[in-house]
Amino acid sequence: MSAIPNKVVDLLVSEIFRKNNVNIENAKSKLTDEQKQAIRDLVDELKSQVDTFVKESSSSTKE
Amino acid sequence: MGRWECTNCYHKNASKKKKCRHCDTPSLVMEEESVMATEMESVMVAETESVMAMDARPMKTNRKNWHEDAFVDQEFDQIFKMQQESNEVIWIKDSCDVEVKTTDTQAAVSLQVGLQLAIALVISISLGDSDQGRAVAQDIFQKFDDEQINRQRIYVDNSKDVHIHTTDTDLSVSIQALLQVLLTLVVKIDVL
Repeated sequence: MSAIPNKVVDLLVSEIFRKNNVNIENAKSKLTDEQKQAIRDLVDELKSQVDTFVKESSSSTKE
Repeated sequence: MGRWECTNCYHKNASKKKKCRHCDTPSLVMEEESVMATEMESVMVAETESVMAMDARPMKTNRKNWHEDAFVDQEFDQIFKMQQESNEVIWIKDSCDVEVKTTDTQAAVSLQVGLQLAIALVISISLGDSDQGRAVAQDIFQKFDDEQINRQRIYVDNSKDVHIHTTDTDLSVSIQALLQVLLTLVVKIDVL
């Protein structure tokens, strides 16, 4: 369940990258493995927090 | 007509008096509290206002090149401006067995700030702390220029066995949307 269709978000981000002439391949190669791992942990953590929050608030409205 | 007692020196004053005759402490706060206490009302007010300014450097006033000027001004002042106000008032009067459940708005707000910081962080790590990175962050957050004001007022009077559940739907939607942006970004730079 998404708040906004994934395609919209995807297009939005791609468009912003394109507009600012971002070279994604370049950015990819710049990242070290540790940085990738740190970002992965961060995203997982936030994702679980958001899931918990959304679940809590939607379950209470169903009651 | 009742007399009010000063919060500071406990001097009894006539109700007309705005300030304590003895020590000049204003009566306003004290009066409001005592009125609520006698009517057995519980009031909950939560107000949050968080304004984050990541970089509040003074604006450059270089008027030779208008395009450049506007760009520089914006990128330092508009990146992280989020304004939020939640205002919830619940009155319960002459009632019994009332159950109230509200969403913890504070937690939601901090989650939102956390997500925004994470997005900025991912951009600055992957694109470097460059003008380009800042411009990208600015573009993303401008799409998310969210100013929300939520006002909820609930009155329960002379009732029994009332159950109230409130949810801040706006907040959960914007949190989900921010998470989507973060996930998309991370997928794009090949981390997930």
